[in-house]
Amino acid sequence: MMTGLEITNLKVGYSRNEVIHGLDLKVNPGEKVALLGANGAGKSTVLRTISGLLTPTEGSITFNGEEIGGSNPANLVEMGVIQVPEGRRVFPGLNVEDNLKVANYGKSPDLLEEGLEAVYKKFPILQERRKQAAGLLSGGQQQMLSLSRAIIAKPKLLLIDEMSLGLAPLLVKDFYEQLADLFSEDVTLLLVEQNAGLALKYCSRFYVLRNGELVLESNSEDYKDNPTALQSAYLGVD
Amino acid sequence: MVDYIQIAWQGLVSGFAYALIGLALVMVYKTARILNFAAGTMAGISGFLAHWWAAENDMPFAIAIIFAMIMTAVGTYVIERLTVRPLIKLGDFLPIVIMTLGVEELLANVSLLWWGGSAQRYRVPGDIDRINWLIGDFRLNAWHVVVAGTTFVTLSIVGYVINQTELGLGMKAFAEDQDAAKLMGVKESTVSIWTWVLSALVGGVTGIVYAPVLFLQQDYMNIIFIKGFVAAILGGFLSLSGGVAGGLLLGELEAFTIKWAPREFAAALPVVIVFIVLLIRPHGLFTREKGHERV
Repeated sequence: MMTGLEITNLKVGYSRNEVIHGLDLKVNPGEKVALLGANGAGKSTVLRTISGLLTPTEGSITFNGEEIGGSNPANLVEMGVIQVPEGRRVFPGLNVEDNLKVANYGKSPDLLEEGLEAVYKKFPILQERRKQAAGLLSGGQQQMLSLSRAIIAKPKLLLIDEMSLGLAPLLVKDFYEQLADLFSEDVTLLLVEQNAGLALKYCSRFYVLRNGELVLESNSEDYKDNPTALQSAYLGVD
Repeated sequence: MVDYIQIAWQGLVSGFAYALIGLALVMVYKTARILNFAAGTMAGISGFLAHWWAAENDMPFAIAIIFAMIMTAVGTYVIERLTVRPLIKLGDFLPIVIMTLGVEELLANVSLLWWGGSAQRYRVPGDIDRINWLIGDFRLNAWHVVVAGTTFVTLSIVGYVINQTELGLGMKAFAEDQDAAKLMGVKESTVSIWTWVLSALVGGVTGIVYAPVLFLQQDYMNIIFIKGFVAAILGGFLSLSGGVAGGLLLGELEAFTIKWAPREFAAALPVVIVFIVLLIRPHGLFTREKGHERV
């Protein structure tokens, strides 16, 4: 049953501090949805919970009808729930190719060959530097590598955390323009972003999170030409 | 000249032990961020087990060693699941380290109960640990050659596992960034258990191969453990090859100190070295200081 991602009444926290206070969110199969909000709103916490790094204290997360809240991250990866983490998080001491190999962990080497070919075609610079330590790549190249790991992992549900973090605005724009080309049409996407303008161009719908609570849910169309109108929702001021 | 070669060789023979234990310690620390204070005692029990199977159960030498290694692996599996795993979830460093101290204490007393406190000789086939060849003025003990060969093979196997297998890749990824590795599908529990087992096997080999050199005694691996610890510090505790290099270096330093300084000083040497290294290069001799991350 394809129902995409469905989050109901999700509550999550770190030790005794609740960060997300009952979130409801839905991403239909193949839909591209953005989760927006200011720094510290809890966006990354939501993604980390979906991908199994954090366990919900309450509520449910289902993907295609199956409850996945609190599952082991490795099992989620097997199901096709793939996260591109905030800050790229490449393995700095491993070379580029080993970084990509990790993305194929536990799967057949044939798949890796296929994946490497696809990735190198899209980012030839990674092939050129495949024997270099990933920590020596530039920020943009590291983002390429981080996205490439996700391509190799063959996502069904793709979670991208703040691609714009620490990258030059022009580069970020490039990456957003390439997204449609990098992942197949039917990949379900939940994208976390601070930069609303970019996210709205790519996603059809969005949510705004403030202090762990949803404050706005809307079609991108309505705000596309005027992302500054979102400011009040971000900051809670009129 | 021969004199110096003799000392250098002696330094290597002790250095191999420090290197192997250093490697075992670094492996667990690097991947799981756990200091295993039980590593020495665990290695000693492997030695006792090999001796026990061979001497008291009349098993052929090689088979006894295989049995001892299997028991080491299984025992480590149980120790990891029972003592380490439940604490990992707390995400705290100290409780696990204290737990390994507890395990050390427990194992030391179990071995004392089982085998008693007196020194026992670990017999090797043909008593080759008592064969000394003279090459000119250079004296070469046959068992020391076995020690060197075993060290070489062990290091090669570890190198192969780390660099050529998927498990090794997972261990490296996990050592670099736990969360990122989990998000790529690397299972924490699998990596943790295999790291512990691999580390214990390296320790076990050390315990067995050095048993004829040191004599089996309740805490015969303790001194090696301390020096392996120093080796790991010399190597910066995060580099496998650094730990090995640190062990060899310590062995040489010790051997040459004994030559030129009073013997009593040699015992204090490791501590002095740690002191100096931590003052001058706290990140170890063989690892670079963590560079700035590129943005």
